[in-house]
Amino acid sequence: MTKIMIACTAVTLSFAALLSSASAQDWRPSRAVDLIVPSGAGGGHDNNARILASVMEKYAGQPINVINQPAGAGVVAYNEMRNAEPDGQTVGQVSVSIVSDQFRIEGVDYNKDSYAYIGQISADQNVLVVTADGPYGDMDITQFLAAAKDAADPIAFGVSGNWTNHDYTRYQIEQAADVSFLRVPIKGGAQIVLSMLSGDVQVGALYPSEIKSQVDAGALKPLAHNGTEPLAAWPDVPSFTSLGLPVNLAIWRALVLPKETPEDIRAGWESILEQTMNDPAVKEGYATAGIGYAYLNSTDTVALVDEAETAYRTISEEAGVTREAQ
Amino acid sequence: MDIFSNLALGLSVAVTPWNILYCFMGVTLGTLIGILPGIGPIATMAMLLPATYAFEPTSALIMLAGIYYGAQYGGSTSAILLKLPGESSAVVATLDGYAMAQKGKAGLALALAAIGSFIAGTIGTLILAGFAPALAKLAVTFGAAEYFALMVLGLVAAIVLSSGPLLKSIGMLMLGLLFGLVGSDINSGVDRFTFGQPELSGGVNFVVVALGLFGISEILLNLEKREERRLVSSSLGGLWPSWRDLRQALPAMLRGSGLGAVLGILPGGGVTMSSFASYTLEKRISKHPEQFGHGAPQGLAGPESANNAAAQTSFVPLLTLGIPSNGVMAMMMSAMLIHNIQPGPQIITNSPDLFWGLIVSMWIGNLILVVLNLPLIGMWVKLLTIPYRLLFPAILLFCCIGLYSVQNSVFDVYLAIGFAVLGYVFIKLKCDPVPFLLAFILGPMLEENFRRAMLVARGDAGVFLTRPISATMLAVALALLCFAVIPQIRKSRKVAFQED
Repeated sequence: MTKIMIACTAVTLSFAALLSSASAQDWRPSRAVDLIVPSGAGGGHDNNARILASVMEKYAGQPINVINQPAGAGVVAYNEMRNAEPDGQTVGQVSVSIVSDQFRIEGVDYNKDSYAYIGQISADQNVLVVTADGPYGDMDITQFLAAAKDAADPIAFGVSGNWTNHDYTRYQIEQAADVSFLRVPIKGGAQIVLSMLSGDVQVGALYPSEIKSQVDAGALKPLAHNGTEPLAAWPDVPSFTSLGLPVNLAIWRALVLPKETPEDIRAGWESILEQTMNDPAVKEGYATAGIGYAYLNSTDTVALVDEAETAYRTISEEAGVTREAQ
Repeated sequence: MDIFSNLALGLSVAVTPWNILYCFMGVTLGTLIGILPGIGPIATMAMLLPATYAFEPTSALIMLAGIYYGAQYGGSTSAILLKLPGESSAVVATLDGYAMAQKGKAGLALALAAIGSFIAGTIGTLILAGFAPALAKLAVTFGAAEYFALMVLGLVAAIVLSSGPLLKSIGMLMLGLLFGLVGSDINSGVDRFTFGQPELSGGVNFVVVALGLFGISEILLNLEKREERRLVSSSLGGLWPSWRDLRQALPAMLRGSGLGAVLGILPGGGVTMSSFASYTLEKRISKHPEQFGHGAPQGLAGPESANNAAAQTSFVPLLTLGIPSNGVMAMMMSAMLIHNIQPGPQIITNSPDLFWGLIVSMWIGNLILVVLNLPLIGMWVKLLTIPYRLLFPAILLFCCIGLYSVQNSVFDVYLAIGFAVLGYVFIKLKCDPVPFLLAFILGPMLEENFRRAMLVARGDAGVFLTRPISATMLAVALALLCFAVIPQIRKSRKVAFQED
């Protein structure tokens, strides 16, 4: 009898425990969710959001609307994410610029502490490429850096704007290899590729997806990348780190909520994201769109963001990046 | 012949019932969003992209491409009828197209635009089929110096195509350049003329300026007139162009198609330039340039053909180089990647059925558009018989929705109101806003390419003259400017303030 009583109690208790843990874990949005993306439709950020949203709807149990807010190079979107109602109905997709903007854009008052992080969703490498039929086409990375050092006139390096991720990578290469390039700002990766083909610039540091067709066609040649893992498309291309050069600024994206979001809602989104990122559909979608798969949970993402802020702060101070002159 | 077997292969892919259906869906949707101001093809394609996962890759691309050129098509409808240019390529249609509609020839204007677009689509398809790989080489010979020269040519065209006095045109041009400077400077990163508003650091959006300056200010002007106003006189004019009309417009259509097809290949603003360039050419060679701006059929037919041909050939850099030249092409590239197709030089050999199927489907899409739209012209024109007191709130509402949807920001709606007031003042001062808008579009590209060319040439301005393509275009620009200036100076000596 007592045995049965105990068993019953145990069952009831564990059931109750299950229920309570389920209700704590299982916060889910009650209506359609807005996913704010700090860029226009088309392009890497937007692609990433749409692939993620299409899978995430399944686990969130609600439709997810991708809201593109490209105004002010993402500043408007980042402010909007911070000031949204903390009810879990508005989620933001941020990139590493969330920590670097404060060093370069006047009037930005958000920083890494302005958001609650759900988790990292992707990471991409920058690949240093040269034109295959240009003067550096038959060199490897060591020969290229030596040539860049010896060049009487600095080699033209295409970057997508002042102190954007491309530009920080250019700076890291210059510092690590003791070379200097002529920095040529060009809007967007596709335009940089065109400028390389037309011979205006000789070198660029671009995402794998931006250069794949030209590398496959033999027009561009990848020399090195700034990641830690080998490149999926070109596993033979060395990383800068493997050559002993500290060129390593990873470019990642993450999902965030407003800082004041209650714990249960945060936990709800963390479990939605975990389930989404473990769904093979995300990996497949990323692979076809050329987006680097990388997932970290909330705690690890906070560490990643902290690390990035320290890195960008150090470089910005060292390179004399100022908010006034960006 | 290679080209014929390729086209035959394309035809066999494009005329399967499913592909015709997808093509039909694409162009119909495209026409609708083109007519609504502000809601562009990029956002529509982005929303539909996930839905295409389940499609055959060729069908998906056929539908998405249809949205793009369908939107080009629909954009001119609202530009002609309501002076609402939703896309930069439709600005020119507000000149003679709107003037024709005002004179009761709205039906003829729409029909000419439709027929011109179809002819351009046919020529564009043939050019794509015959020369796509060769044309791709042209795209990569254009460096910063060449683009700079092209933009200079565009600005001179802006002066030539303006109807007002020369000095006012140049003044408006300068003002447009100034507004184009707003936003963060790409070279130094410094914010210019943003007054601390982060919304402005990305610059002012084209749709905001175009709808404010043209669409909304036109409403202000119409409301000023006290009598019950209809946009057109009671007779709507013949809906079908007569043989004479067609014979008059056909050479302009052919010239526009050729010009547009070449410019469309250039990834840095070629599509935008095509309609301006065609208008300038038509006005230049016309025996009656004074009719331009007051409803000259060539001033509508040429540019409409040019922008459609350019839309067609703007696929060349994507299909043959794997480089998306604008937002629409970036969406097309995403669609290809989703289906595991790597756009680029290998696409013709690796997936010939997709490549040729897509090209032929564009011609079929153009055919569907013309068949679909010619009967609809009567309906569109009836839109203008709606009493203005009912029509204008609807136009305003659609403008506001369109303005908001560009960046999901209310700020843009307020900004457009500011531009509407500015546009109203311009009209009152008899200043033609067209050079303003063209300079606003071309200015940022002009500056960016000038500075890049100078940077790459290590500060040597001679680069613009030593590179043959750039030198030729600058010479043409100079000649055009002289042609435009000299008669105006002579005229102004004879009669001061002869215009208006």
